[in-house]
Amino acid sequence: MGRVTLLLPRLGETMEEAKVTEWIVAPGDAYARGDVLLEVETDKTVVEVPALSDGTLIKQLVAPGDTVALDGPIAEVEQDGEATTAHVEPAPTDRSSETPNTLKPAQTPRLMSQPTLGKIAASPAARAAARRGGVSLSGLTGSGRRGRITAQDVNHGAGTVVLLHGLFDDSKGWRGLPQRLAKRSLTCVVLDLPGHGDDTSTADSFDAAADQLAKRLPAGPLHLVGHSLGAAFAARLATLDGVSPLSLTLFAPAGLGSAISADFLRDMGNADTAEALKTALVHLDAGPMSDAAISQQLPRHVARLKAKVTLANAVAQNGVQQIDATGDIAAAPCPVAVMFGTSDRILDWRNVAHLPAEARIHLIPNAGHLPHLVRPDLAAALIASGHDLAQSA
Amino acid sequence: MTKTTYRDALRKALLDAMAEDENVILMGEEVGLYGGAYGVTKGLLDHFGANRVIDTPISEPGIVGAAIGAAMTGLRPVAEIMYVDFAGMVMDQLANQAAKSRYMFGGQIGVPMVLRTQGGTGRSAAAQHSQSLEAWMMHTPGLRLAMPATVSDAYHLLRDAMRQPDPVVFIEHKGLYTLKGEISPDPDAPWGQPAIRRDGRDLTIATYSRMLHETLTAAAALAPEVEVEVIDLRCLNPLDDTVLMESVRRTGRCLIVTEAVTTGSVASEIAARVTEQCFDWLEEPPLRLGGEDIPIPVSPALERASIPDAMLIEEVARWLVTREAPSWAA
Amino acid sequence: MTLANDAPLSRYRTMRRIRTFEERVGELFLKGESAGSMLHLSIGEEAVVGLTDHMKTGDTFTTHHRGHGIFLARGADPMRMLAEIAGREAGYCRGKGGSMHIADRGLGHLGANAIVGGGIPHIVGAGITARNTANQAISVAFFGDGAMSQGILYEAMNMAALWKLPVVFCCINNQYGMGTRVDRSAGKQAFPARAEAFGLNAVRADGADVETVHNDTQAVMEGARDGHPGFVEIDAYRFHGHARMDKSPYRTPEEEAAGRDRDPLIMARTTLDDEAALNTIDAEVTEEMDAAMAGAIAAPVPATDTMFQDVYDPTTPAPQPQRARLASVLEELN
Repeated sequence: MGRVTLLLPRLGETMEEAKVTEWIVAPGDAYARGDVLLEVETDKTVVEVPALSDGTLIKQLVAPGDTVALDGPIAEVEQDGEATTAHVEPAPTDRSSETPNTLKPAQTPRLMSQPTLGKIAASPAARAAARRGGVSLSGLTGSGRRGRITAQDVNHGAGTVVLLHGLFDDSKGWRGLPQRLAKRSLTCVVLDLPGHGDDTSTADSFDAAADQLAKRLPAGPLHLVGHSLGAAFAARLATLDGVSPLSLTLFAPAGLGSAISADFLRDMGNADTAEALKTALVHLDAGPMSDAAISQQLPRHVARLKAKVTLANAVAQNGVQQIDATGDIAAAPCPVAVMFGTSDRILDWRNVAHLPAEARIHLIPNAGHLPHLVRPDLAAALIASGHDLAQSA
Repeated sequence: MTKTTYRDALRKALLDAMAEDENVILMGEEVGLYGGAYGVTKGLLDHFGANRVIDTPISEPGIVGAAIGAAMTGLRPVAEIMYVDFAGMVMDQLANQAAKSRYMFGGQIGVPMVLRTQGGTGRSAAAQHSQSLEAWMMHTPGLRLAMPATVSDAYHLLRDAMRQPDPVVFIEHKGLYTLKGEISPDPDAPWGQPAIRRDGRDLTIATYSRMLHETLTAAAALAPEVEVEVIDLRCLNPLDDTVLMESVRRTGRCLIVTEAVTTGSVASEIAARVTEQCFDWLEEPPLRLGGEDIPIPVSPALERASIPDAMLIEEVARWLVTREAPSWAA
Repeated sequence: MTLANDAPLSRYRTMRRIRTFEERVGELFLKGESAGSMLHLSIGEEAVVGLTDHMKTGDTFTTHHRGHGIFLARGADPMRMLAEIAGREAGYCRGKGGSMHIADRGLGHLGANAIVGGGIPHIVGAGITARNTANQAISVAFFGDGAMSQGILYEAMNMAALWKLPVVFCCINNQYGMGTRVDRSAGKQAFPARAEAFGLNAVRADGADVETVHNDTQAVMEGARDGHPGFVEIDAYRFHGHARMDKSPYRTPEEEAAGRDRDPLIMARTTLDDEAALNTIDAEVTEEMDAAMAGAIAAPVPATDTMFQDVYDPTTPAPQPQRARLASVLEELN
């Protein structure tokens, strides 16, 4: 048993700091290895900080709202045996036993508090995957030879979800999906299509846009998720050398057939007032929207509207899609799940017939072009189960 | 395309090269009148005469030394040492002379010669006529080393060897001379580079020479349960390991199958390289499956048991990938 | 070709160049400028010039570890030789070979060799080349009495005789293989008889007199050019130890004094009997060798990365430096 200062571990590849959102364990409470101590918000999402060994929380050194740098102190704890991400400051009584004059030469408390990482049986590939994904190996159950943790074991608990939205949409359009994925311990990266959201570029072809997106993919194992045109991009990215995603999940994907609602594209491309935008959005069957929500969305919509229209014209003309995603989907080196609303007015759900036989198809009755918002839990489960399938493949 | 044998492909390579370039000469024990101990040079004496197909006394160091001098002065000799085991006789000329001349003399004097020989088990030729000594050649900078496994490589690798500006040790396998196959119009891979003989995602097996065939048999039996990528290394010195490392990074597992004694072997070198270069991709340690660390016994039963075969390769590969242990593991 | 009546004087000059060169090699070591101390001096063996004077442009030869003099006699630039012995870039082998591995393809030198007998069979191959291409060249292997105990010599002599190759095996018998006197390594010292037994023309020449060597080896050398391989033993005495550091404690002072009495330079001076001309030659040679040594010492050492060159031909990628390999494994990939 020793007093240890816990430090903020690396929870994501690009993470340099995190904001504390909530403490789960209170001072004086005992906890077990694997228990969530607190939740923090990184540059990507809210993540849990699990305990790496049994212990008792003595003092919280940070409060909700505090921003903590990587490796910064977050708590003082008392813990049995060996700490993992902890830096050790032995209590004075322990310190005395470290002196050369000690009468207990066999005791080496300093060694007992050394990180155990080296003692965890994990394949080199698993260690590399954990390093890339910012995942701790402790707490993982190894499925390999002699209980060795494999890269698959690591990826099972990791894998960054990349969300690709559709035309005239942006990262806000995913609503609560990222939070739902975070609950499943999946980290999300939301990419904006060229000219959409915060992206300031212009792409005049599908291929050019796909190239741009490919450059922005995070490293490490990925779950690729796309909606509508974003689904076609997700399928393309899945086929690239070196991407090799764990799963591909497509909501109302474009590129399965030829027809597309020309009215929707025209109305969206011309919408420069709140009224016009409200009218255009009806095609999506997104349910009623408040005027406040519309007026929030309007400035995002009209910003770089020309670039959005350029991309729209590149992928569809006169109600005919100019892209075919079926080849990319068939070539994707991972399980594919597709969700379609049978009341979709923008794309025809019956084009799922063009999907490869291996794809899992989920049809949502009475849902329009945003089936993942109609069934958000199913959508999140699909992404997660998609990578479960990746393990069994 | 018509099928031919490994032996005839080698002869065709010599014949074509000698017809193209009058500086190409053959020298060795029994290469002329006898036609080669394994029949590779049959008929070449009649074609090219005794000045170009030179029967030598039983003087292995002298044969290699003379070939070195001929190479230094403008000819392209192909010397034959009947068994690679006789490398024990010729290692001074090979390792101290041929391999080092270009370097010692500051790049002035290359030794463009080929030393043809053959090795391996399968004929109950016993301890002094059955070895696989490629590691000796791999351990010597300045030598090049090629070991053809297929009929097409027998032709193309030998042609390529005869074009090299540096000494090439060319080790044939006594068990492959009757192998039938086609000579493809182009080499399966550029000189110096491995060829992928089978694609697979679960395990990379690196091998060469006769063990390629045992490995391919094992890989066929393992599919589709275990998909093995089979890499034929072809040229072992200098060893271009790019293709192999790319493969191991895809599969995360590597087994090296050779016929040679395992300790201090080509397999050991490859295992070390895989460990260094693919560490972050490995799910299992690179594994060597080679000959037992014993001299080759003469009894066919003992000889067979001393080196891997398709069954053993299959068992070890399955064990490595699926953790299904073979019966002998208990 | 030197005019016949000038030839003895010319041979004296060559012998003096060898003697002075070897003295400079010793000084190079004492100055700390030589690459190592494995320097085997041919002082006392200069009469080999009598044989090399039968060689022509286009002829090839291999030498042993005590071959400086032979190479000088065949036209080597002493500055480039000393630079090589000093491990300099300007050396014949760019500082990679040194005293024991000096070579120059242009002058027909197929390489000095540090393996006793190692270079002998190469002349058999050169002889095959000469036969097959009818290039009129002969090839000569130079070696010491130590190589008379190496099997490769007998393989090579047998092949040369069998195929009637234009080659000559030249044994410079300086009485010692390192510290072992020849009577302690050979059951019978009739070396020419061994060669005759293989079918070679063989002769023994007195290495105390260069003119005797020249005259007595003429028939063998001309015979070789006609396809009758030959063997020459030059009887000499190694004035100094095996290598630069060897003080020869295994020899008696009396033996050494007697051996050094058989000095081919003194013999030549006596025969030529022209003190003024010989002194002029000596002075010119001293100047030449001093300049060569100064040039060699001033020459730059090779850049470290040249060590990876010439393992294979230049079109083949050079071996990966160890530091690069280690860095590829241990470098953090950010």
